[in-house]
Amino acid sequence: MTSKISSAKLLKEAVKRDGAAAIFLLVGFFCYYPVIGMLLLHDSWFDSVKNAQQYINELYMYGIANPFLFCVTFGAALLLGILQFSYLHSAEKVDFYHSLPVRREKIFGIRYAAGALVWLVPFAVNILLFVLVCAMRGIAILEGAAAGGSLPVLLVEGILAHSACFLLVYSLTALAMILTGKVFAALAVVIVFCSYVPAIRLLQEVLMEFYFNTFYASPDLGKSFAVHCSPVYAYIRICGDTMKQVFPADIVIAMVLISALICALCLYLYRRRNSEMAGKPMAFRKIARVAKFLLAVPITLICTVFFYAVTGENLLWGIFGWIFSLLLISGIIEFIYRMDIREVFCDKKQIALTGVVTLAILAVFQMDLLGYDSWLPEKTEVESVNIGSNFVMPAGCLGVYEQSVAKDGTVVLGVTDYVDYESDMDLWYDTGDLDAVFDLVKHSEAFDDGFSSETGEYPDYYWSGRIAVTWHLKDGTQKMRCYEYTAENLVKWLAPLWEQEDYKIQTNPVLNVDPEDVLMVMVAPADSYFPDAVIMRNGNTADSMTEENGSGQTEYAGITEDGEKTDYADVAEHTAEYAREAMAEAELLSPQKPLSGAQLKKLAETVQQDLKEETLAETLAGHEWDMQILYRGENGRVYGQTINLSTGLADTIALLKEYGYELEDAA
Amino acid sequence: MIEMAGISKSFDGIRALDNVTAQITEGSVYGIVGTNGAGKSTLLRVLAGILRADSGSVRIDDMEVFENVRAKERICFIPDTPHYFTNARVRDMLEYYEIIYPGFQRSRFTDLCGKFELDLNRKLSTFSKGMKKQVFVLLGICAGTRYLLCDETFDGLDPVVRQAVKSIFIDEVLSRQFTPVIASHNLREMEDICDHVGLLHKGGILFSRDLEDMKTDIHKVQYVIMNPAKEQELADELDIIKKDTRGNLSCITARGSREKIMAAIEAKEPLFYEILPLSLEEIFISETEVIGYDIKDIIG
Repeated sequence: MTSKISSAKLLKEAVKRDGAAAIFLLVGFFCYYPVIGMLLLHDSWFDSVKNAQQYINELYMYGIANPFLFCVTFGAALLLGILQFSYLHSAEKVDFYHSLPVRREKIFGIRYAAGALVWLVPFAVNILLFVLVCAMRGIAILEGAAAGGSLPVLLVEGILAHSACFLLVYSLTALAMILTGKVFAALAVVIVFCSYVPAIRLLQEVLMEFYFNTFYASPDLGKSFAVHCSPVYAYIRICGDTMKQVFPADIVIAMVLISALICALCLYLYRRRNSEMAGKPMAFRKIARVAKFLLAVPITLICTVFFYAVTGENLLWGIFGWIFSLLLISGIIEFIYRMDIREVFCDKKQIALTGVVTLAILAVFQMDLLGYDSWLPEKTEVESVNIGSNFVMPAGCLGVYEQSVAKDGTVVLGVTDYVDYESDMDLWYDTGDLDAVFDLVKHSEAFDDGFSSETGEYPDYYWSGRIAVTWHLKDGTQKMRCYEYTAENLVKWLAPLWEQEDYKIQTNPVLNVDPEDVLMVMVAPADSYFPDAVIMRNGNTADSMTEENGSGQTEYAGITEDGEKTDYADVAEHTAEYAREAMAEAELLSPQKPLSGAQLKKLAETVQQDLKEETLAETLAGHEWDMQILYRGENGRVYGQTINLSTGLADTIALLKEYGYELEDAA
Repeated sequence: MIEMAGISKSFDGIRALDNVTAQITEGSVYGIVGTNGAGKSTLLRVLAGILRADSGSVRIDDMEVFENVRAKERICFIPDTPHYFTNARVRDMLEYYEIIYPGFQRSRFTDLCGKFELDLNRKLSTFSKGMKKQVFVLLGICAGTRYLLCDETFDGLDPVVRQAVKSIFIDEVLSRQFTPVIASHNLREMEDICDHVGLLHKGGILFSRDLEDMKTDIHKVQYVIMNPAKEQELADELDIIKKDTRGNLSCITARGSREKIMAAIEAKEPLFYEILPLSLEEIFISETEVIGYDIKDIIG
């Protein structure tokens, strides 16, 4: 039976009920778009901008790709979701709406649409006014940074992107409101929606890291499917793409489809929701029980491991942590559900089930029942292998520098980042020499029974004996493991691979550098640090240095393309001052005379030759001096690589002495 | 006609309605009375299609109510604390009811508001509790539905307004198909308005009868019978619900026709006897006492 009641009239009434929110958004967007837009297009500013394309980019950034706007969209979706469905949390309001001769799906549809319109109409209308204002100045049809990206097109794409974001958050909030009977519970559910899957993935990583010796933390955790399951990721991705004037059609479509699915789920649950659940934290008892289980298990797990780990793996503390966290978490969740302290442990069966499941999961990890540590593929299953290690280039030995030029022409390089050699897969050795790799792996701690008895609880050279292996299997999958070694095994079984020139070229960036690109060489005792900012040249050499940089001009350049000094020069001045102090404090050895270009080139060639000939045993042996080579990479950026001056680099040491580095005296 | 067949409803393991079976026929002002927690509000919310009964069925004019728009178009429900929109004026609610109830009588509503001195342009939040209830009773009457379900709606209304509403109800009942169903624990107020009463107790209907019939079926008599043996015989002959004795003066509440009770007493040669008027509250107290309910708890 179709209701005679007009949906349009009901929708109008529903929007009227949200009059305050609608007016607030309308006024807010009106001020933000046409009003401030006209100010931005005022003659005094507009005429001073020479590049109209640049101007459109600025307007686009202001009008659509502004992270603040995405925050507004998120906030509006959350607020309107709560406002539209808050009546479900009030017994009086539920009585009113559910007694009306209107089907529940119609009530839901009207409320859902009203909330969306309250946001969309003020947003779209004011953007349209903004475009009209721009059109009056004749810049609306010009293209922005992206080809074909005139301002109206960009703004329409922006509206679509914002709408997708709005719909996702709005639908999730609606779902949370339907699932619950109190606003605080709904907000908690929204947080769970946004973070649960990534949190479980993180928990898995933590447990594997703690229990498995061969576990290798995935360097691309942020790109994993679990992280993609978070609406926050989608939001950040869409915001980032929009800022780059790229319309993220794939994720927009995905978000709209997911929103539609959530909306369908909302409708289904709405129809099944009992009116009497208004005011109760959770509206569906079965879902509440499942949610409690899904929350209590991981939290109990992490708490148990925490107690066990911080007490030096004390079993009694582990047991205490398990019981304590199990009862605490179950009690807290049950209290939220029932708001009665006497009933926090009323569901004893579920507490017991949670405890048993938690123990079972811990047992799987503790006893490695899935055979994670003992896993080794058959040779026939392996396509290729990548090997990475942290002992040739420990973390921090490859720095990325940024260049700036002070007012007096001083060129300063400051470290902005360090390449994580262990996690940078580009620097791993890709080999098909499976025999050598299997020999290497089989003599690791995980497979060598004599390992512990020979070396005690902790192996010698523990700091240096990590080898990470990525197994690329023929079935298309890949598995990563990390193996530890005694120094003796490492030298013996890695050497056949490590001493191949191919291995060194792939894994040691300085071997791929053109000697003419070497900018500077510093030497310091092995127990000290190199400065994180250095002065390259000063005075009259600054210009030539800038020219040399070419496309490698860093973002932090104090000189613009036009050669005009910018405000950054002041910053560069401070950086130069800092670099002077840093270099003075570092125990750097300096040659008697600055090295010439030819000397630098010769030194670089000698280093490269020595590194190619250096044996693994020489690398692992002690060294008294470190050398840092600053060079310009292929991408134009400046890198600084630290190299141990081991006995294998005898020719380099001799050349350094010849050039005036007083290695022996300083030692 | 509203037909309830074996309706049960529980909340958190507490049975609010227990196998309720009753009928509400058209053309009467039906009162549902009961003790606090008897299930009156729950029953009305089930009748209004707000709550889904755990078992049993509710049919209105041969149609299931829950999620049945056609059936719900015949019902208007006024809860104990009616909901109105934030900052809504009487006129706003009038306009909303007009959308929801196609048969809404706008002119009648404005007339009645005038008679009850309710300003259409005044915000509902500025009205007293009683005035708000008046507004919603008038909205309910003018909604044009066949059934009007009122939950404790007349609590707090002054006797003049109550009488005025009663006369409006009677007019409506006589002029069109209209059956108000009123739930309350306030028996004095119910007695003013209702002509048929269902007594709800601990989730079940104890009885459902016409008010006049009830009054003719239960009587209160005080008498003096000097012969204890005859008095005992009288006690055996009559269906006595309640008996108080002070010295030689006895006061009984008994079931049966007036004639039968009087004849039985006269046969025992009393020194004195008289029939006393029986209020709905006394009938209610008597009935609930029979099933062991403490009288102190029901004086509302």
